[in-house]
Amino acid sequence: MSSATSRTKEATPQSSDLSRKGLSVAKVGVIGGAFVGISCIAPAYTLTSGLGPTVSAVGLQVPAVLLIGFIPMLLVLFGYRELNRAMPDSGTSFTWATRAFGPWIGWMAGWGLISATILVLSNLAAVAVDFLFILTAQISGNPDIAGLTRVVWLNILITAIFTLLAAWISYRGIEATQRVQTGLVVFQLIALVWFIVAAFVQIGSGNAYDFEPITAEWFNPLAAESFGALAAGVSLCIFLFWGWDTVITMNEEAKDPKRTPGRAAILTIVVIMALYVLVTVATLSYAGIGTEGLGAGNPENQESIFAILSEPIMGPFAILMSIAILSSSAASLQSTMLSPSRTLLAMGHYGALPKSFGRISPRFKSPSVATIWSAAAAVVFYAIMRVLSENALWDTITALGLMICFYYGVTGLAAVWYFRKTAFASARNIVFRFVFPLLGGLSLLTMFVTTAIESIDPSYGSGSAVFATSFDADGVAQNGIGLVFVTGVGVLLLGIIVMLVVARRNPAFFKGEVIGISSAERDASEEPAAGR
Amino acid sequence: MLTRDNATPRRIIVGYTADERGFESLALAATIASGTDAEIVVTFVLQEASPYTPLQSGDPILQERLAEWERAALERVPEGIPATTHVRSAANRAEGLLDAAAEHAAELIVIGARRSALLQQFALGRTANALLHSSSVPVALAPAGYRFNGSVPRVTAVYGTRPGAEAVIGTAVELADELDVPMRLLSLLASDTRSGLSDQLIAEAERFGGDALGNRAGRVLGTDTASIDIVEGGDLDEAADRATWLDGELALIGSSRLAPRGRVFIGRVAQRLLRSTSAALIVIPRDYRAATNERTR
Repeated sequence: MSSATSRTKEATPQSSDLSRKGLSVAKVGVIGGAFVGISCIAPAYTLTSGLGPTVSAVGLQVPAVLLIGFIPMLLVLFGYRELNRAMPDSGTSFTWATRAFGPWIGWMAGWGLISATILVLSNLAAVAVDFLFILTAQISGNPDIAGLTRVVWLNILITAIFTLLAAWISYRGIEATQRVQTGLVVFQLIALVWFIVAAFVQIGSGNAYDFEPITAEWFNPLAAESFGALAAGVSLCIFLFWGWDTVITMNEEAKDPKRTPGRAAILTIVVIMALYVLVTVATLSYAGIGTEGLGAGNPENQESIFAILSEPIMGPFAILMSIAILSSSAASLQSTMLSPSRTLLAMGHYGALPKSFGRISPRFKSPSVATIWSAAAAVVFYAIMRVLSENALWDTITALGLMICFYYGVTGLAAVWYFRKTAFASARNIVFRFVFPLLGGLSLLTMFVTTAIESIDPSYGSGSAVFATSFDADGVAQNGIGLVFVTGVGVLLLGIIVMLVVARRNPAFFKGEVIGISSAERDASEEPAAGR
Repeated sequence: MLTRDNATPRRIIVGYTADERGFESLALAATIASGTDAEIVVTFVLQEASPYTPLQSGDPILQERLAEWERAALERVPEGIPATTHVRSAANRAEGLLDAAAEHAAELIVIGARRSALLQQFALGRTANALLHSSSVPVALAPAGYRFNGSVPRVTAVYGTRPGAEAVIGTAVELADELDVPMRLLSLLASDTRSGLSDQLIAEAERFGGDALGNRAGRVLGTDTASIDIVEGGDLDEAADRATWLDGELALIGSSRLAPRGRVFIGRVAQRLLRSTSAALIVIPRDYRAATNERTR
C-alpha cells in the first residue's frame, strides 16, 4: 500500500526537503577560497603566457596596466554575482544574457564564453607540453629536448593527449583533493617568489641582462603610447585575472555564502596583484624591453617568458619554475574544461544546441557529450593555429582577451538590464546592480571594439597574418589581415553562422519559447527567480 | 495511533545510477524486497559541492535531470513493492551509500557489480571495494544482465573454514526461510576431506545467533528443502568454476579478512564467483548479527 503513497510523494521530488538535506555541505572558508581562486588563476601559467604579449602591447607600463586592468573585470563580477544569486545556472552568461536580452544575444554570449574557454584550453595544453619538454631537458641535462616542442606533429599529438586526458578526468568528476590543490598553489607561490628574489639579487649584484631602473612612470597608465595600446593591455589583463570569478560565485560550498566569497576574492586579488606586480617589475628591471636576447620585448621570448628567463635568473633552480608551470597548467586545464562543458550542457538543455549536448552522465553526474565536444574543439583549434602560425600561443592569448571582453561585457550589461526594475530600490542595488556592472560592461565592450579594430593590422600581436604576401626582415606581415583579428572576430562570426543553422533546426529556443525574457521584479537578492 | 506489526519498515538501499548498472541493482533489490516486504530506497549520490565539481548539486539542470531519473526509477519498481527515492551528496559514492544506510537503518545495500571494461579481470570498481571494506550491513552485488524475476529460486550460503561462516549460514537460513525457498550450503574445497561436514555446519550455525537460530538451521537441514553441495577442485578457483547455479540464485558469502592495505576485501572465491556465475552475490560482514538478532522473534 505504501507503494502508491510514496510514488505520489516522490512525483515532485524537489518538495521532499528532508530527503535532500545532505545536499549542501559548507566547507570552504576564506583562506580555502583564496587557494581555490589562486589555483584557478594559475599565476605561474598566466604570467608565462600573458606577460610577454602584455609587454608587447604597453611596454614598460605593464605594472600600471595590471593595477587598472582588474577594475573592469571586478565591476562586471559584481553584476555576475548578483545574477548568479538570482538565477544560479550552469549556463551562466548564456542563460543570463538570454533572460535579459533574448535568445540571439544570449546565444552569442554563450558562444563567446565557449570559444574563450576553448582557446584557453588549447593554450593551457600547449604550455603544459612546452614545459614538459623543458622539464625533461632540465632533468636529463640535454637542452636539445626542449626544442622538440617545435616539431609540429609531435607538439600537436602530445597537446591532444593532454587535452583528452584532462577531458576524461573532468568527465569522470575526479577531483584532486583539497590537499593536492593547496600543494600546487603553495608550490607555484614558492617558485614565483624565488624568481622575484633571484631577479632582484641579480639586479643588485649588477648581473642584470639589461638593467632598467624602476621609475614611477611604470605605474602611470597615462604614459602608455596610445589609448589603443592601453586597451590592448587591459584586455590582456582580463586574461591574467581570469578564473577569479570562481571565488566570487562560490555558493553552497562556502562556509558563509554571504561573506566568505567576497573576502576570499579580496584575499585572492591581493596575493595575485602582489605577485604579478613584483614579477613584472623584476622581469622588466632585469631584462629590459629590448627586442634582442633576453629582452622582454624580444618577440622570440613573448610567448613564454619564463621558458627564457627562469634559467638565467634562477640558475639550476629554474627546474622549480618548470614544475610549477607544468603542474599548474595541467591542473588548470582540467578545471577550465568544466567551463565550456557546463555552458554547452545548458545550451543543449534549453534547446539552443542539439539536445544531445544536454546529456548528463548518470554515473558521474557530469556533462558527457558537452565535455567531448569541448576537448575536441580545443584540439582542432590548436592544431589549426599551430599550423597557421609559429606564434600560436601569443596570438591565442591576444585573441582570447578579445573574447573575454566580449562575453564579460555582455554579461555586465545583462545584469544592468535584468535588474533594471529594482536597480534603484536601495543604495546597495544602485551600486551593485547598476553602476558597477554598467561601467564594467561598457568599458569591456569598448576595449573589445578598440582591440578588434587595431588587430586588423597585420603587424598586430606576433605579426602573423592571413592572406599576407609580403613580410619584413623580422617576418612581420606587411599586408593581409592580422591573425588576432581573424581568430577573435572570425570565431565570433563563425558563431553567428552556427547560430543561424541551429536556429533553422531548433527554432523553439530562438522564438523565446524555452527561456522567456524576464527581469527581476522584486527586490529580494537572496531569492532565486521563479522557474523557467 | 495506528499500530503496525512492524513499526520501523525494513529498508534496502539501492546505489542507483540511471544506467544498466543501476537497473540491474534495482532489479535485484526488487527481487529481494518482493519476498521480504522490505521497502526500497533508491539512492542517488551526488558529489559534495566544491568549486571543482562538474555540476553543482544544486544546479537547476542537474536537479531537473535528477527528478526525471527519480521518476523513471520508481516506474521500474514492480507493482506492490514500496519504494522511495533519496538524494544526498557525499565525498564519494561509497560514503554516501553508507550514510544513507545508516540514516534509514537499512539492512542491505545493493549495487551493480558490472566490472569496468578496462580492469575486467582485477577490479570490482572503487565504490564496491570501498563499500565492502567498511559496510556493517550486507552488500549485494547485482551481476551484469540481472533482471527482475519475481522470485528467487534458491539461497546458497557459500562458506569455508574461515571465521565468519556462522554469519553467512545464519543469514542464509533466515533469508531462505523468509523467502520460503530452498537453501543450499555450498562448500568449495581445494582438498578432498569430507567427513563430518554436516555436523560442522550445524555446529557453526548454532554458534551464530544463539539456540533459536541453531534449532531452525537444524530443522531446515533436516527437510528436503535444504541441500549440501561440496565441490572440489584442484584449487579454489577450479572448485568455484565447477559449482552449478540456478538462474537468479542468491549466493551469500562472507567477507574475507582484511587484505594488506585493504586492497581486496572480498576473497578470491567471491571474485571468482562474480566472474563465473550469474548468481547475485551478497557479501556478509564478518561479525554481522546485530540486526538479525533483533528480528528473531
